Amino acid sequence: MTLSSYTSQEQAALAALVAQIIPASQTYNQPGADDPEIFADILTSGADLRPRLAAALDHLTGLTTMDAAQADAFRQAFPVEAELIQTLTAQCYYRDARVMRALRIDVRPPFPMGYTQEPNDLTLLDPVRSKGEIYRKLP
Amino acid sequence: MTQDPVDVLIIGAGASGAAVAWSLADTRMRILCLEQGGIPDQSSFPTTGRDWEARRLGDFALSPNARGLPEDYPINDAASPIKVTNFNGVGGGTVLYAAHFPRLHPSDFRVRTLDDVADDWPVDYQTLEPFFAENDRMMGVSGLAGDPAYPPGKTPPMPPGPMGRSGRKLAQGFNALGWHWWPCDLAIATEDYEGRAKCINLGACISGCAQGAKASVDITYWPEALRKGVELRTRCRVREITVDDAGMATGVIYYDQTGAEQFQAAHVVIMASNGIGTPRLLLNSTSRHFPDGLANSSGLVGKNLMFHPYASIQGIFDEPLDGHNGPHKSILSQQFYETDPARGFVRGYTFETSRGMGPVGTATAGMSWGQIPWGAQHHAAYRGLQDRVTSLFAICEDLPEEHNCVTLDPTLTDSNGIPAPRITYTLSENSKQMMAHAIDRGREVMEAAGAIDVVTAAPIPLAGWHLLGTARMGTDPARSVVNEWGRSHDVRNLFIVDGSIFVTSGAANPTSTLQALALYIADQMKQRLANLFD
Repeated sequence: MTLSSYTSQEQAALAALVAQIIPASQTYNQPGADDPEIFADILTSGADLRPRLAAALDHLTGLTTMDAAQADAFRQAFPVEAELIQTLTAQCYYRDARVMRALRIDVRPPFPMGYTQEPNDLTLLDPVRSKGEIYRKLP
Repeated sequence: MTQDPVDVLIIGAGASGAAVAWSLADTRMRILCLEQGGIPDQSSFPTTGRDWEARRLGDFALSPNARGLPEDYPINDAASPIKVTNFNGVGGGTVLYAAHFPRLHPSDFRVRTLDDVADDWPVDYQTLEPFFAENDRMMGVSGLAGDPAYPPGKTPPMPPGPMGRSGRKLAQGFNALGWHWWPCDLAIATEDYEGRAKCINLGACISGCAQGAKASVDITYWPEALRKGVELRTRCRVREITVDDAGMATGVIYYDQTGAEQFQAAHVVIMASNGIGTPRLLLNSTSRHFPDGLANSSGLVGKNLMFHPYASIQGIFDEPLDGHNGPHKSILSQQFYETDPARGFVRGYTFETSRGMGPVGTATAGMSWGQIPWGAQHHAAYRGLQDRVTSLFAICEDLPEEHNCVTLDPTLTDSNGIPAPRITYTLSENSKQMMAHAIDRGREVMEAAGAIDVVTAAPIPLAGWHLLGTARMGTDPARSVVNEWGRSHDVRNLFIVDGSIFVTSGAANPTSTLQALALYIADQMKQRLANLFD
């Protein structure tokens, strides 16, 4: 048992599944969600979910790889668990520095640098102003 | 243990509790506020870390049931398609709100007269106008004067926030259709203001503002109220309000941060615990005089619960927009705010824009919409949505119906063993028609703005932000819980200042109005101090 408390069989099944959700891409130079660093994040961040996922993962016991049809069958059979795994996978995958760089996203938290926005063009309001008041007058 | 009595005891340190505490401090009375949560720590807010999106599903989840923090109480909302969202701590809902700050309209206070539905309020827009302005100054509101959807005179103290590419796109869509739009009033500092640094477009307003630009009352009203001598006691959860043989409130029983039971005596009790917490506490405060709950001779405590049902219209564009960068809200449209009988429903809605999503939000939304598949096509599909989605939300007016209610759950309790609230709520046919109309009109806006695809949903389940109507105000004790200046009809030293007292919901985010009401009630109390209980 690891820190995540997922059994080794559960880990293998989960790795196979997340690799089907987000596989590696040579085209975009991105790792898959089963990349060791990302998958370690999934196991750690999803530790609390294990009690809710264990029964579903049990149906994947013995699988170390999975094809799209098997992933789809899992999704059909366990929609709630599949959505939990999908969300967990996205959370961990899209905060990975390599993934963020590949997507041209700044690898930093929003604070303290923040972001810039373009100045407003309030001439866009001219048509609205020209129509005049629209609020409802009271009798 | 019994504490020394105070003149005024306020329950709840959120939007309305902070405003009433600050205003009443002018009287130099001894004022104490009890708050079940703690003081938020901006330095640990989610945007200080790269896991900021994930924390929205954890310790900064919008639902108290999902957060499950010690200061949260559970809410049984299984029998409601709209789930409650809140924040329990100093600042209340303002810590996690988007800070969209429109006022209700003059017509909202006269719906019976104008549209023959619900009831007129016992106060009106004109009466509240000076308190709206005072609140705008205290909170620090940005916006643009001259909105033709409001009477003249609304002048936000700071210039509007950035419309950004998203707001500009949608403004072009509204213009193409000839419909109203205007930059949002936001309780967000666009300039350095009263010790607060200006907004730097962190883009996660609903996870708390690490910059302190967003006006949550822990950083607006509370510092000033504390300087004026108000005492704030945190991590103190009130169990019940006690009464004497004459039916007057004598104080409260609460659990302090150690879990020890305390009694706090008070000459006046003010409830500021929101539209769920206030009826819960009143219903938990039973006694020989009030066997059905305190201040409940009308039977309306907990009844007439109103949310604002939200419809979601997401537009997908073929060019980069803002993503999550910038305040959530940029422009609104009140083209469909007022009743038009030809639409098949009464009252109306506001469209508010919502800028876009961060990387995780894009992926999870895209997968749940079916726009981003599992498998090899995931990456290309993701790029088709990245920074290319922007939203309209329709905030639909919810009319009061007594069967929509807050009651006490027979088995569920909080960590102190206090019975938890249970929500029973169904969407009316009027609301369903209104949401359908909003989705059709929203789709037209998106298409006029150039969207290549549109994804819609209604109602949004996790959007029970606005908790209204469960202890309504009115002049008739048989049809209302508090009078026209917030005092309980039944208990003459008990006041309510939160969203519970709304008679109708309007079609606008309620914080501005509920704070103006709290300031108005405080002003009425100050004017009547000599005969407050007559």
